[in-house]
Amino acid sequence: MLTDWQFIALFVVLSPIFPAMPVIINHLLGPKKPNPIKQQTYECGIETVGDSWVQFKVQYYIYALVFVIFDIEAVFLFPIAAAYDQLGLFAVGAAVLFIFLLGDGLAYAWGRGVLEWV
Amino acid sequence: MPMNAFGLAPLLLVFPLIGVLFNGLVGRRFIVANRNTGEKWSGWFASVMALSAFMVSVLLFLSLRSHEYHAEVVHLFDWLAIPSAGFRVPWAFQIDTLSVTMMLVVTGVGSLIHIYAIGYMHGDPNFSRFFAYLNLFLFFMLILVSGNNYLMLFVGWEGVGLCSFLLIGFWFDKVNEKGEPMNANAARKAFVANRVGDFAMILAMALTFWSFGSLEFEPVFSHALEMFESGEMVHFGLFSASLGSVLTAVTTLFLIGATGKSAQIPLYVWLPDAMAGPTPVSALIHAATMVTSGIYLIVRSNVLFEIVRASGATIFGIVSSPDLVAYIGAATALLAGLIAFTQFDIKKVLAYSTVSQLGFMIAAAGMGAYVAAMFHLITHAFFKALLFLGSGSVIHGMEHGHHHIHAHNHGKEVHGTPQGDTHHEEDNFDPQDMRTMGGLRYRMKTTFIVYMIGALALAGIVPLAGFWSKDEILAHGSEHNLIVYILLTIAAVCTAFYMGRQLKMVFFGEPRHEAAAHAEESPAVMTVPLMILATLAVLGGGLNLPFLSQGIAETYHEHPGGVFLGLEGWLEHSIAAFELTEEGVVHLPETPKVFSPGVAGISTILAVGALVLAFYVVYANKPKTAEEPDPLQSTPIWWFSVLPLNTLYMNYIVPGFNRLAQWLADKVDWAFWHDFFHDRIIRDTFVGFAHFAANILDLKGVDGMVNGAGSLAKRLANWIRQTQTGYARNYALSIFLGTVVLLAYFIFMAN
Amino acid sequence: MEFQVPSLNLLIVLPVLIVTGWGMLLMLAEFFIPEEKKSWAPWLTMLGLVLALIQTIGLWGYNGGTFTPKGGAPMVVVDNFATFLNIIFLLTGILTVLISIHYLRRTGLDRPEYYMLLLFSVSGMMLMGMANDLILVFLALELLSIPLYILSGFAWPRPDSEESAMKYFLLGAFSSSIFVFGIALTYGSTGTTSLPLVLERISDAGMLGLVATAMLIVGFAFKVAAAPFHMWTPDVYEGAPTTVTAFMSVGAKVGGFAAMLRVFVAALPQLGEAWVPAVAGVATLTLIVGNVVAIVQPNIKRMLAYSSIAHAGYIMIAVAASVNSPDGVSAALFYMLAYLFTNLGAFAVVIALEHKQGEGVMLDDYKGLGKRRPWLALAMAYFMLSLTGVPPTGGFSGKFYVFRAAIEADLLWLAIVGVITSVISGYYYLRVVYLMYMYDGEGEVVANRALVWTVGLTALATLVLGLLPGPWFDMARDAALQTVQMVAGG
Repeated sequence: MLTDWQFIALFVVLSPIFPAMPVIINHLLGPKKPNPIKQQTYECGIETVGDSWVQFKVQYYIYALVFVIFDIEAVFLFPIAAAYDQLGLFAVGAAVLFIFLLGDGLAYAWGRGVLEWV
Repeated sequence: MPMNAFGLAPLLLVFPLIGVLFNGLVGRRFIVANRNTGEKWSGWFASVMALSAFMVSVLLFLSLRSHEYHAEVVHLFDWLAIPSAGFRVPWAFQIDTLSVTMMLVVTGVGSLIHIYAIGYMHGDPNFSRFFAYLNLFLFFMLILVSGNNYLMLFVGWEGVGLCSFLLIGFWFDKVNEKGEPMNANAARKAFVANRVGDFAMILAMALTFWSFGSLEFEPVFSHALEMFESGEMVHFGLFSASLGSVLTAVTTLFLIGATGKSAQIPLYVWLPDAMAGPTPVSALIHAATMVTSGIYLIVRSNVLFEIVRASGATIFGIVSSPDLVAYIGAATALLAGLIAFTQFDIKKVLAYSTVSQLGFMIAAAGMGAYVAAMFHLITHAFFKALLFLGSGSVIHGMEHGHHHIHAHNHGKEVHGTPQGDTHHEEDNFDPQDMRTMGGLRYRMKTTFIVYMIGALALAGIVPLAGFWSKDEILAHGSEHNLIVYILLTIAAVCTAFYMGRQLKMVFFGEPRHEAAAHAEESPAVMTVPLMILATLAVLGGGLNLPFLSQGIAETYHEHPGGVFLGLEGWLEHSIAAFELTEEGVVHLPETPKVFSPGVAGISTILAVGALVLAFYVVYANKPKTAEEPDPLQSTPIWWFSVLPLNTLYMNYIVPGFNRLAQWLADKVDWAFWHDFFHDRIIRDTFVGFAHFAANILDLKGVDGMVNGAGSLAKRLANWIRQTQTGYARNYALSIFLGTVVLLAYFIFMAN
Repeated sequence: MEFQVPSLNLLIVLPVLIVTGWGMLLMLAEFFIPEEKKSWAPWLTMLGLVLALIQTIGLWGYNGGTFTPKGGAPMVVVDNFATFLNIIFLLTGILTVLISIHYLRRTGLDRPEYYMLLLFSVSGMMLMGMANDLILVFLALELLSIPLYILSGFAWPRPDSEESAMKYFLLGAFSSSIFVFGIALTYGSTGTTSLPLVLERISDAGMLGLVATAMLIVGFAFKVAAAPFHMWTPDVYEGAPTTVTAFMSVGAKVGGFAAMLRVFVAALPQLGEAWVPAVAGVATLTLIVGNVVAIVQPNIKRMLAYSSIAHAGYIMIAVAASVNSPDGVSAALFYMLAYLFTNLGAFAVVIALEHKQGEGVMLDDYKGLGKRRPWLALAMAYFMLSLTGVPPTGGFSGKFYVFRAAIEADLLWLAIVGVITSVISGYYYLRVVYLMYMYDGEGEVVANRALVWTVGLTALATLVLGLLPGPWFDMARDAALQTVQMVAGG
């Protein structure tokens, strides 16, 4: 009989096989007729411009940071919303405080001009 | 219900401290805002704080009375304590008759001088700073007299020394004819002379603690008495010494401390120079209070001195330490009295007189006449403060006269001029020189009368305060120590003589300078304190009249605390009345005080004679002009103006000390200490070790460390060089390695 | 499953709430205050800190907790230990604001975020002393550290400031991860992170508990800059703006010790046999490295960095002594109080001499200060004496109590190491005094009123702690007792 750990070991071994299988099968079975147009980098039907190693504008990152904060907010708020009936006023207060804290940060970021795309 | 105000004792210190803070922090603003009202605020605030402290002292006095004079210790908190070593120094107040006596004198006379100074310092640019210092002085002086242990006493001792230093140098920018900063030099002189005494005090305290395991008065004294009775030796680790010899050392060190603070031979040289400070300071610190702390110390430690006396221990078989105290006091009294003959500066005369009178007190304490010493301390505080303040009033008047002429000559009025002993830009007029005075009795009536009272009290004329206290000392001397008695009697004659000379030169005869002719009386804020002090100088003898306590001693024992019965009965509760014999401590009943009509008669006749001599013989006619020499200048007495230790100090001790210091600095310090010990041993070791650590342990700067070393070391250095340069990854590696070592240790521990 | 609302008593955590809330308020207020009134920011900050300080002092003597889950122990406790430390943190904050005002203006660093970050960091420190749960300790640690990472890089675009922020951040994250690992292992071995419960169960935890302890030591040792986890300190202290260095050298260190004392004395005393030698060893290494390496530093900020490492060693002695001596914790508390005043005072003088950013921070710049600014030099000399531990200074009293506690705890050898290294430390501290008085020199000194007040107040406080240590030590003892009682009571 397998213990819990042995199941995990089995899972670790077996799980890579599943995503790898279609790629390998495809590679083995599919026909190969390359031409220059097919070899090009695919970018939504538009021709690529320049190198892919470009520097991004720093605002992408700040923007992304602010986004991630609110992304996570949703994760935190969801269980509270789901269990709203049992939680009572305390949880509402906590959630409101939580949103307020994030809002405070957003207001600061806004005031600093992070949301303006220059 | 007996009244009990002992809990108020901390207020003694709080009030002056508030004054310091007020004047130190905001006083100046008031004055900048408005000169006149600002000065009033600043000065009166300080005075009220001093008066409040006086009120507290009075309350403590009353509490003691209703408490049957039993000493009370008010414990605030433990200051320093090492329970395991049994070391404990509390911050506690010793409220007994002795300390309360000192508190009353300090705060009472102090308050009057504060008020006087409001008038005296008028117009000084650093008015509020002055009052901050005065209050600070009161604060430390009260610590000194109220502490219940030697360490607190020492804190106060150092504190008043600091205040003295600050106040002597108060006009530190003042220079003499040669352009030397004379006040700053005087302050430094006081400071240096006192350091010698302080060093002795520290040694004495260390020895006391080592021997008796405490610094508090009560445990030290009772422990010492027990040891005396049991004949136990004092053990210092492997060594042991007899109680007598240990206490001889302690008391001798106390004496050295007292010679510094109370200006006795050989450390007295600083006090006459200290008169460079403002006159209220001379009155308060250098006459009435601080300089008496040496006497307080000896009286406070009377038990230790008595044990030495009883044990018969001597210093190298020559003289016992209490006797040495008496001889030093008597010699100082005489020497200073003689020097006072030759002074022309009105304050210098008083300064030497103070040294002389302090000698009286020290001599009394040395002879075991502690009450007499305290009695003279109190009366002296009254009349010497009076004399100093009076002289301040004279100087003030002379300056006014001088300014009057000056303004007259320039045809305009000068308002609110700075005065006191401040600068005199235009000529060499010295308002303190008695040769320029004369005839002031008409111009300054009040000052003249009170000064006269003070001078007669100092000279010891019946029935003024000085007569009773001085006579008590002399009477003791005549019974216990004839040499001391003779020295002191001559000193008393000198006292009468130089005071006669001063009176004559200042107040009588004709004005010898225009300033004297135009001198003006001082304002009421200055004269009223003078009058109060004059009253005290007249009545002060009543504190301890010889006839008083003898008669009522029995009544006293029936109704303790009922009536105030003179200093003797009062101080008896602090100054143990006991006799030490070979068998042990024998407590004595109250000893009736000594009064010998013969001694009193002799000293009175001599004093009157000396006054008459000064008044009607030596200074009967001369000097009439400022330039004319003093008639005494042709007598051998004048030698004392060149002979004294002051000259010795300047000509021999100072250069000698400098040379010694130079030699030490050159040879010992530089050659050995610095070059060899410091450079070679300490620095090289440290620097080598530090470099080693910096390179190996801290992975930094390997340069030079391994130059010329073997290839192994070089490889090591290369490795270090690769891993250092302040990279964060190396730091992380260090954290990681540290973690691994810790983990290894804990895992090892677990197994 | 029924959700249980934890019991709450927000009044007792009001000081922390004030500080945090004030920080958030300042964050937004910046946009509404007109430009010409921006100079109010430091005084507003000060107001918040003083309000919190008043609240904190009012809590002296209170003993209780809040955020108590059903059937568990409170996550936040407010006892004299926490209150004493909170007073230290708030004083640190107040004094830092005082020394910052003029410095920031003349170095062009006067951005409003500075004070806001300062407040957040102070609130983190306060939570360090109050945390009664390892999770909260970690949260507080991060709340303390993250603003500091930003503050040390506050002098951008100066490269060494950025470098210091980067190093501090990377290494801080690294050590935090080890610390979290320690917490996780504690949870794994005892099934709880609440300190009182850890206390009950740790003796059965076996080896896992010991491994966890080791990792917790690493986390704290990094925060307090103890060797060999100290190597970030000199670089960060040198690169960060000097006011931040001053703040860090006291606040972050005391914060680390606050939680360390709480965790090790309140929760892990049963493992004392294991961790006391380890902490003593770390202390020894710290003392040697800090004091010896400080000797060769030509830069005063770097020298004070090594000096602060050394002082962490002295407090470590008290920590090591705290299990077997009733006075260990109180000695540490007193030492930190004295260290607060002395070190901030010394840094205030350093700031006075740093007339431009990064200039005037070499030891040679102190030449002739005794003639140029006698009072400032006197104060500096006094601070140096206090750091050396010469009586009568607060530093002496602190060392005295620490060594006494060590001797009582049978750690005589550690006390001897402490004394010897103190003697060594005299060499570099007194060199500052020597340079100030024995040489002539020139150089600008900028001392405005707030700075002079700070120097005066800290010198006075150091003097008071040196002359009258008794009452303050009694206070520290009151503060420490409850921690020890908790041990005894289980």
